[in-house]
Amino acid sequence: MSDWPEDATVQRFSDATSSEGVMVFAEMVDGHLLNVGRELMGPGREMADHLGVTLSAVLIHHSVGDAPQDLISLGADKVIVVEDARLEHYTTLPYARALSDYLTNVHRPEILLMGATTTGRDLAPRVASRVDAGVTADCTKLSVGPFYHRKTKSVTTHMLEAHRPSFGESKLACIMSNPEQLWAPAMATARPGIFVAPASDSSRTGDVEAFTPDWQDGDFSVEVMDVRRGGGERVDLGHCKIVVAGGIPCGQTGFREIHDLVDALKAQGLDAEWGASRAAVDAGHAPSTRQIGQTGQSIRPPVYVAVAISGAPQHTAGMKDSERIVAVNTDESCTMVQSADAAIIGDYREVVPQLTEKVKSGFTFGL
Amino acid sequence: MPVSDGCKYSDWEVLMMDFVVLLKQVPKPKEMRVTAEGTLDRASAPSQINQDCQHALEMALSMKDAYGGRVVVVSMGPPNFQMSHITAMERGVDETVLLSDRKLGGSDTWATGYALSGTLKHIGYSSERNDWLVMGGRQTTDGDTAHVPSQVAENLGIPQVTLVETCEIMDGSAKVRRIVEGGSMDLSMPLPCMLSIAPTAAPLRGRNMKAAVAVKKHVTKDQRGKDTFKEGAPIFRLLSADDVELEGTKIGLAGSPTIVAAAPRVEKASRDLQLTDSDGLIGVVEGWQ
Repeated sequence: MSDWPEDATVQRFSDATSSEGVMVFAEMVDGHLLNVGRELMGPGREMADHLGVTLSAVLIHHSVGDAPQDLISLGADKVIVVEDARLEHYTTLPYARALSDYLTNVHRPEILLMGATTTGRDLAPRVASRVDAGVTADCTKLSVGPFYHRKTKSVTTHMLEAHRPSFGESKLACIMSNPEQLWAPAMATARPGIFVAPASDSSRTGDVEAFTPDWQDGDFSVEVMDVRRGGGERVDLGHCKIVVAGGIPCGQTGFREIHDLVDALKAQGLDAEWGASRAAVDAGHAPSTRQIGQTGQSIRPPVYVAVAISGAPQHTAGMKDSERIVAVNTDESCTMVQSADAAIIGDYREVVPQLTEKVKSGFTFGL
Repeated sequence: MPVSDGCKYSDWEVLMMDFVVLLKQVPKPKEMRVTAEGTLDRASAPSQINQDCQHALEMALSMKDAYGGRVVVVSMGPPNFQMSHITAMERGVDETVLLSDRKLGGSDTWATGYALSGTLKHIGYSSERNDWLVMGGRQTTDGDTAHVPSQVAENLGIPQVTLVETCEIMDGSAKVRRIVEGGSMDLSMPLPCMLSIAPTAAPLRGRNMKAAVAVKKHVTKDQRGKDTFKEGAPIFRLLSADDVELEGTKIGLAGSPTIVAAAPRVEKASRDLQLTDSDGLIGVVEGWQ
C-alpha cells in the first residue's frame, strides 16, 4: 500500500478533512469505567504519538466520579465530560446527541474509537450516519498508514487502518477511509479484551472539559423501565490460566462437577476459575458475572475447557482465541468439538469427575 | 395502507399497524466456497434469509398475529433476493419491496442505511406517522457489522433499540427487552421506532399452507430456474435508485465513506482435533508442549 507513482498527489487525511486528534469514547456503567475504554487508551495513545496529535477521551454518564483522572493517568491529554442526571442508563439518542454535538460544534478528531460493547455497537453507527463518517465494526487491530487511490492518482497519508476479521475469520480485512468520500472522524469499534490497557501513571496531567450538548425535543423520548444486571462482584476471568465453562445441561446437577474440577485445579496451585454460557446464565445456573461470550467476558486463557457447550457464535466470540481448547460433549459434530484441540465425547456427569480425579493425582492440563 | 373495518373493539386493541422487516439474503455460511482469487464465491453459493433477519421476521409475524395489521419486507440487493421474499410470503408476509440497482453495488453500511431509509420513506413510512415500526436482524452473517439498523434509524430520524429479545405494543408504545452485558433492560419506545432483533429471540415459523398457496399464483421461474415474482405481481414492488430518488453521491462504492483497502488471508491457528477419553487426554496434553 506504500507504493505509488512519483506524480501522484499526496495529502494528509487530517488536512483534507480539517480534523485533528485521536478520541476515545470511554463507556461507563453504574459509575464505573469499563475496561474496554482503558484498553483503547493503548492504541489511542500510540496512534496519537505517531500522528503527533493529542489524545482525548469522552465520558457520558450521570456521574463520572474519578474516571477523568483515571483516563488522564492512562494517557489522555484531555477528557470531555458530559454529565446529566438523565444519562444514568444508556439509550441511543442522548448519547448520540452528546457525541455528535461535540464533533459538529466543538472539535472534530481524525480518529474516534469505541468499545464494541452493546453500547458501542449501537452508538457508533448512529453517530457515523449523523455526522457523516465511516465506521468499522469489531476491530482487532488498529494502525495508521497511507492509501494510494489509483482512480484519482492520489495518496492520502496518516489514515486509520481498521483491521477486522472477515469472511468467517479467514481474512483480516483492512478498512480505510474512501478517498472519494473523505470524512472525519474515521471511526472504529474494537472488541473488548483485545487491546492491553497502558500502565497507569498518576503523575500525568491533563485537561478536563465539561460539555453541555444542545439537547433537543425527543432526545429523551425512550424511557428506561428496568435494568437487570447480574449482582455481585464481577469475576475477572481474563487473568486465569485455565477456565472451565459449563453449558445449560450442567445445570441439571447445579454445576457441581464444574465446581469440583475447578476446586481440584486450584488445589494444584493453578489460577483456575469457572464460567458459563449465556444460556446457562439465563436459566439461572450461574451469575451473569461469569458469562463468557459476546455479551459476557471475552477471554483467551492458556486452556479453556468447554463442558456441554455446543459453540454458538455468541459464545465462541468470547473464547475462540484461547491457546488450547478442550471440549467435553455428547455431540461429536457440534461446533465446539470440531474447533477444539482435544475433545472427549461423553456425558459430562461421567467425564468431568474422571478429569477431576486425574487432576487430584497431579494432572494439570500441561500448565 | 391498512383499511379499518370500522369495528370498535372494547376488550382488546386491534392496532392495524405495519410491521416492516429489513431482510437480507445471504449465502449459506457453511456452503460458501472460496474462489481461486481467495474471495468468497457468493454467486454460486446457495442462499438463505440471514439468520438474525429470520428472528426479526418471526417477531413481525407474531406481532401481526397479536395485534392485526400487515408485515412488509424491505430489502436492498440483487433481483435474486426475490427467492427469500417468496420464502417470507409463504410464512404470512403481506407485501415485499426490493430496492435493486447496480449503482448500489459496493455500498458500505453508511450508504446502505441511507438507501434503505430512502426506500422506506418512498413507500410511505415517515417519522410523522405512528402506525408502524421497523425491525431488522442484529447483524448479517456476511457483513457482520450490526450497523445497518442504527443507520437506517438515524436517516429516518426515529429512535432505535438494538439486541431486542421481546417486544409488545402497549398504550401506543413498544415495550422491549434489550440484551446488555450481564443482563437485560426494559425500554419503552415511542412509535415509530427501529428494533434490531437478537439471535436469542424466537426462531422463524414454518411455511403456512394457506399463505404458500396464495403466493404461488404470483410466482414463476427465472431463466436460471429460480423462483421469482411474476411481472406485475401486486404483492411485490421492485424499485431502482432513481425510483426512490437517492442521491448518486451517497450510494455505491463511490458514495461510501469506507473501503476495504486490503484483505489478506490469515492462517487460522489451526487446531488439530484429537478425540480422546479422560485417560487419553493426559497423553494428548503432553503432545502440546
